[in-house]
Amino acid sequence: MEIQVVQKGDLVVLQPKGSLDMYSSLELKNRMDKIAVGKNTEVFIDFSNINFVDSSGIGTLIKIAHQIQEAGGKVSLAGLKPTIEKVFKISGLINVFPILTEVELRNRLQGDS
Amino acid sequence: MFVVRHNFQVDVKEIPKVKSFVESTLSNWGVSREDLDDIVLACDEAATNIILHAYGPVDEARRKSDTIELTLRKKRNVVEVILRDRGISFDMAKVPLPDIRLNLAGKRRGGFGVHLMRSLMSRIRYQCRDGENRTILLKRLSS
Repeated sequence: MEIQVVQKGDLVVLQPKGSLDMYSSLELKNRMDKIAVGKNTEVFIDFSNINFVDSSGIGTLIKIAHQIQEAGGKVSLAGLKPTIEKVFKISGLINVFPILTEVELRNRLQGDS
Repeated sequence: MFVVRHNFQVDVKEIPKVKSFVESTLSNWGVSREDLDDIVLACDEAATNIILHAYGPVDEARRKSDTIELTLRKKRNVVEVILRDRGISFDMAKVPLPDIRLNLAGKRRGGFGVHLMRSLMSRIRYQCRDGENRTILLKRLSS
């Protein structure tokens, strides 16, 4: 899985590409494990290049979020396509994480530059 | 009425093939993108459950000799998916609803796969008869 990481101070943007499933979700978790998270860290997971998420992907997102929150950081999800948004609504992820559009994410990053 | 059938090995490496088979078949049948996405994800979850849970405790030799038979059927505005396997019976009705907050707190794991199947499909059924398990997924197409 191709994963781009953008870091600006305490802001971290993870941009995975393709499917977030049983195979690829472990790669996202491993990539996140390499990033130092502190109490001021804000992690944005950008889904604008993700076209499929299954329950393994949801489970991995929950593990990543748990890990970040345990370290005192915050997690937001961004750039959800309608198909992905539907899956996140069903699973309840939408109710526990802030959701940003692609534009809101871009503005947020520019605002912190 | 359209019907296609395919056998898959009992191996997680087959999951992408299951998705690809379902997606290309439904696309050929003119099923809308939204309905197609729902059915592909439900099939991914059903096949994953069979491989990980129904065949989890089963020995390697039997995993290699058994197959999962997937039948896709479209009649008017309904798509029916039937997955047949001979693993350990696994009653989806007994799987509780997932709780995102308990999952986030690390106090509970999973339950999302069956919940996704129930939510994305119009109806799901599970039958176990004479050592054969049948997972039946029904989708009334929106267009």
